[in-house]
Amino acid sequence: MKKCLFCAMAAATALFFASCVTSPLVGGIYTDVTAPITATSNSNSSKVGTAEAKGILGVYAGGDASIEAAARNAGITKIHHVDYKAFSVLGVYSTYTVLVYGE
Amino acid sequence: MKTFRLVMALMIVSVTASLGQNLKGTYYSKPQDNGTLYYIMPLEMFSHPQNGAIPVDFTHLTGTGEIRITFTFSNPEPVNLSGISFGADDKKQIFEVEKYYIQPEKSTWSHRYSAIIPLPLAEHVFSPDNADNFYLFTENYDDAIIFKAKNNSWKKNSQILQKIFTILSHNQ
Repeated sequence: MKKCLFCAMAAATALFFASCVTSPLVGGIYTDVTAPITATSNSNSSKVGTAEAKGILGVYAGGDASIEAAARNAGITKIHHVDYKAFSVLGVYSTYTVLVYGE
Repeated sequence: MKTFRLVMALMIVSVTASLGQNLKGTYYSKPQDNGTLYYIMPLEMFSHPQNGAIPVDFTHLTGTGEIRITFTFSNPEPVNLSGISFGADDKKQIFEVEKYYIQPEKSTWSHRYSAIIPLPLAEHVFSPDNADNFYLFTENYDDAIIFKAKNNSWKKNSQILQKIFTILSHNQ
């Protein structure tokens, strides 16, 4: 009985922490997903900029993962499209990275 | 006990999957009308005793023979750069930089710049056996901030870069 309870609590905790990562697909144990945010009619990018926010244990989260920050990090003034990368291990350590393509 | 072992095994598998030295998540490629655009995620390969690490990322468009290196560094005072260089010899080439921003960050100033260098030079500079210094020349080339190759991460990161550079060379 105790084992079942421990198992259920461990699974629930992992899922709780895993849910802290933003993604259409969330793995309870491991998440590493790259997906689109938006696209514009502009074509042919020459620069790529990234911006990242981090989360720890579902308790702390911080960072500027805005499109503006990512664009500024590469000197992009005309955006072509935007992707993001969500990464998480057991919800203990999570990162959310925005990738902006443009010129 | 079995449950504990299972949880530990799952943790090890997930951590191993995240730390394994494959190229997943280290670079992205995007086909375009004018070629394929490659982006290599930031890597910390150089550091300064006072200013800390200087993460560098790379952007390359096939067919150009060049690669854009973009970097962020901290300094106690804001400084304007004129150029960058690699290596310790007198024949080193200096490349002009493009400034993205200089902004205050806690007690220091954060600087972000980029420069375009020839792809073969990047392959040479970031090879596992090289580990040269990274020179940031201040205004009018009066002085230089010297970042040294990080001994503890150089080999691992340069091997990743070499694999990606090989991909680039085979997909021109």
